[in-house]
Amino acid sequence: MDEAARKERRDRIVKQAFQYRDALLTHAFVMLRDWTKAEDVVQDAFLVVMEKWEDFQEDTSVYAWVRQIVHFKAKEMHRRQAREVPVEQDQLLATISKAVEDHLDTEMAEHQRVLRKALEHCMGKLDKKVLELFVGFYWRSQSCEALSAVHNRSPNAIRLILSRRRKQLRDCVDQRLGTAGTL
Amino acid sequence: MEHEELFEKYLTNQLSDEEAMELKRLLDESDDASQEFIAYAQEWCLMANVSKQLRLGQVEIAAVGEVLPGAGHGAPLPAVASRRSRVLKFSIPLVAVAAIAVLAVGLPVLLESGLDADIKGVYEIAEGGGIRRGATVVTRQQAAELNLGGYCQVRIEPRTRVQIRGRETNEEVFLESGELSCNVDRRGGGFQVETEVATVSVTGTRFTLRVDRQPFGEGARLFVEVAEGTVTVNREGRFLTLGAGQSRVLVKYVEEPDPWPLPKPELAQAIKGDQFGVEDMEACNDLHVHGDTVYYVSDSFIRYFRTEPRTGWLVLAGEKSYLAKDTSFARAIAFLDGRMYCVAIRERRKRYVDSALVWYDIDPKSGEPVERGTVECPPSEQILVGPDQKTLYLHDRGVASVALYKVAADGRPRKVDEIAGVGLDAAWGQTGSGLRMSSDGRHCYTVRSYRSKPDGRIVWLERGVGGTLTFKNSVPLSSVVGEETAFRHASLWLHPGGNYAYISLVKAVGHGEVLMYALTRDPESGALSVLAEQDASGLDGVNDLVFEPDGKCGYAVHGDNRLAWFACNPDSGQLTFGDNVSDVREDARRLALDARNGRLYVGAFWGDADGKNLSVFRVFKTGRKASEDTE
Repeated sequence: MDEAARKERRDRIVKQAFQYRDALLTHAFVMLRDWTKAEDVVQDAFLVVMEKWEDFQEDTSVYAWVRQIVHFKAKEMHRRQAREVPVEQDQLLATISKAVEDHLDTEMAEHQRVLRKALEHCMGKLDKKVLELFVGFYWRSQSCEALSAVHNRSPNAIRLILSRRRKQLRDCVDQRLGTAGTL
Repeated sequence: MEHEELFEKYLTNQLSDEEAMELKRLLDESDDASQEFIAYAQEWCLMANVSKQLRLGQVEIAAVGEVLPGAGHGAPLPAVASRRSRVLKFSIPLVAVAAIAVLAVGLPVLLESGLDADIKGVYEIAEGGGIRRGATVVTRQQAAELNLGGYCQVRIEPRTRVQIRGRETNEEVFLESGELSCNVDRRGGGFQVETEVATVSVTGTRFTLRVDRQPFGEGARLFVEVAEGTVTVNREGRFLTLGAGQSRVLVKYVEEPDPWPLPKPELAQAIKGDQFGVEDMEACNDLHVHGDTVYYVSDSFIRYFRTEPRTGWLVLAGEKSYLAKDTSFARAIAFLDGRMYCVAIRERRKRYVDSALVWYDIDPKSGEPVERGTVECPPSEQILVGPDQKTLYLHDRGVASVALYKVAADGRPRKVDEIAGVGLDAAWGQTGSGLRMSSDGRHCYTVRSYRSKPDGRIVWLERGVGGTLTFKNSVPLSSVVGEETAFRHASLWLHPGGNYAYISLVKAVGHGEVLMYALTRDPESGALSVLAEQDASGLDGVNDLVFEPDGKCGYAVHGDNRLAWFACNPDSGQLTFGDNVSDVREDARRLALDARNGRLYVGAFWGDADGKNLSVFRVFKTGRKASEDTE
């Protein structure tokens, strides 16, 4: 294979891998429940893709390949922190790990890409304060109690706002996609 | 429980062990539930990522992935690429980097004064203007992410002040106060963090630094913990290398005038319950000063007192009636990051039922504790706060264990480790026999003794990465005193300078001869060895003891109704008994020192005060005030 063809192949594989970043992040986050670690794992996986792209077999799915790398790296990271995890939680992780392997497949990953586009549009309509709540709750993993102190509302009020807005977002996404999707 | 509630608890790390098993059963038994869970998690992750992206106004990698083919293959790396914060912490082959370069377009980039940096999050520049060398970044309630030179990722934790210094490929920051977590790509260049205490240099590693400014004696305290690689700590020309998994506390003391002659503590106030309309103060289980508030913990109440500005008197500001049902006891409290943590034990008919760790937010204006949550915990009589200000140690002498809790950003403690046995089972009820943590945060010590057998030992534990404790070693008390004998009381205390420990022993036989020993401590191994027997007069049978923060003097209370004060030579470790203050008429049990205001608080056990069987809470003026000795 000449150099130009090699570069073209590499770019195609790398591009495909990046397209599934949300699904890969979901995979890592579900296993680790920590955004920093999940992002590290996915970035590690992308580096592997960029270094080992020649190992990818053309007749297979790029997503499935990268997902295996993410899965392996997430388990590796989990092992490093396993000392801090109680037995019950450790047993649960084995089940969770199987669930993501079984169900977060290429089709779901593709679906997540579509959902993102719709959600970007719908979430863009949220006012700044509500967006702050979503960032706090989902991204910074702050509890409703912690958010209540920041936003000067009761924890129940925060829960209610999040619940209502989540429903509005789901309706908005459904409307955009013309389906009754997850969101 | 609804599925979604279980899923949410899982994703937010709030599942109890029972709920974890419930979720496991659900997912194992139902394929539909598994699919539902994955869909829920997808939604969760999209909510997080899209909201973050909109909030920061960023174009994320996934969102622009489609533009990749336009990148020039193998082209020189555009300058903007080196400013992408997270990707460059890895080694990226140049041939593949072009893709990343395009992905980075649209990120906020600030170039000023030759500084190649970007910063995300909520922050202020103390001097005004933009990010530049010499600027001081201040965070309040939230963290910020600073990328320097494309190879230093610095997470600036909340309530931190840090100044940007250095130059290209040799980045540097000055940490005034607060905490940084750093991740440095060794291929990018050098990086160092200066602090008031020491300078920490790295060539490629992940580590955390925290600087706490102390109100009195200690000018500043630096905590360094290395996660990966190595760092070199330069303290006034003396170098120390820390590897992965190692941590260290370094303290800088401020210069003070000679404290001699030591002033004698004077009784300022004796508080009986009826003064504030309460029946009795109750026996004191724990006593703490936090900010301008004094917290007095008894079985049924946490009462908090504040100084009335006009008269200078301590007055009852409020009380939290703890656990009304069953027979419940608040045992100990600790303060961490503006919150109070309390261990309470529930007993019925003198048998332990369960215990709880309750946490409160402290209202900074009134000092009032506002309950925020409760988790079950092992029965404990003592709480220690780790030097990283993120961990709690719950010590139980009854079942001989220390449980490690990590505290989340919202204040919720989570048990992550426990060490049991190994001599932690000092006799129940001996208030002096608790767990002591060295001022450098590297070791914990306790002493155990038995009335019936000569098996007493001093035990020490090593504090490792993440705050976990491991058994290090122990020495029999017989090797300290030179004879095989049983003790009915043993207490151990550490000097704040970290080089000395003191042990007070009361023999179980005869009239209960009292002994006192000074021991030297090796900061590296934690080993204690006998320095000298001390004059035990006035320092015998100690219930509680506190040093002034500079370690030059201290106070002790006894079971036989005395408050003693003593001097200490920080260079030799020698204690010199000062005198007894006889104003304490009860079995004095707990001490708390407010060095900033020169106040010493003494909480008593039952006593015969004024003919009544009451507990009295006494306030002494120490005659030493931080404001008089330091800036």
